[in-house]
Amino acid sequence: MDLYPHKSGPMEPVALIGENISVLVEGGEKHFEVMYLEGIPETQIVDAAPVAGIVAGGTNVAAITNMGMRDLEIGQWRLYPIDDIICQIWAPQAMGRYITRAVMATLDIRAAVTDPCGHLSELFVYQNMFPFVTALNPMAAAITMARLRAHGFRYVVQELKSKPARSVHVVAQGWGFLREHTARR
Amino acid sequence: MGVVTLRGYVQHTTERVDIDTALVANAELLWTLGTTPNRSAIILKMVVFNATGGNDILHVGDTGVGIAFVERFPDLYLANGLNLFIADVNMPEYEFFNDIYVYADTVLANDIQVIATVAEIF
Repeated sequence: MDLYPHKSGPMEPVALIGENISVLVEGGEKHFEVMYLEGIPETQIVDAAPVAGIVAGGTNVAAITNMGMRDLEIGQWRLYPIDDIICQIWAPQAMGRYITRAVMATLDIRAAVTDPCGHLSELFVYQNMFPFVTALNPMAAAITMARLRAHGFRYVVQELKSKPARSVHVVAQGWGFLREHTARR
Repeated sequence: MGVVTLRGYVQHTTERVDIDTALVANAELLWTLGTTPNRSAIILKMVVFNATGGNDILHVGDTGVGIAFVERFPDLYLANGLNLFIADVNMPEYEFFNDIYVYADTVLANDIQVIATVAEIF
């Protein structure tokens, strides 16, 4: 299969019109057929700093509501900070993304060096289940901006009543329930 | 100790620091390293203006003021009333693992102004 999530290089959709996407969300997997597909050019998606800024060594949690999609839509996003902040990404709010057994990996401005195409931080958003970011200011001085930019694709989908023979599987919300999901398959 | 250059870094500029009192006990804080995670820094570019009314020597080091100060750069000669620009190949290469301080030997009148571009490595 040529299309799959977290593909390195310039961003590509994970499924074309007429193809299927299976989205893992809390409560199980949902299956969809892609009706329409649209690119989302790079956009400033959130400033995770409050008006008062983030004090030295401080954090702020912000909802990235601008990544929320309409009903029966799926967003595929690549997200990266442009300020000197260290980000933890949550989806849903209490479930960390980019996690291993012992650590929750963070996203910082160095991603521009280590992952220029952003494929490692690719995220999927199902309908309005937008992610949250905890932005940490690692500097010894307060910062007033904690900006993240993102680009991606928007899929307009229709739900399938049964699991299709062939689909691309993507994760839209944390991995904590994967074991249960796997057991059910 | 050498300087690691094949690492990603994030570039910041310092505030303008005014040295209006001479000697190491009055060293001025030029750059405070980030707190989380541990970071180091190299100075990429520095502009210094000597308005003290006499030639001077600028000392660049780290760790603190007074006896805590550890000089890291060779002494930088500051001609009276002129700017000193150093960058790229002219910049002494040292990786600071502590906050960066600067001080001058003599301040007759006015001050010495310092501003720098710092690359934090993490």
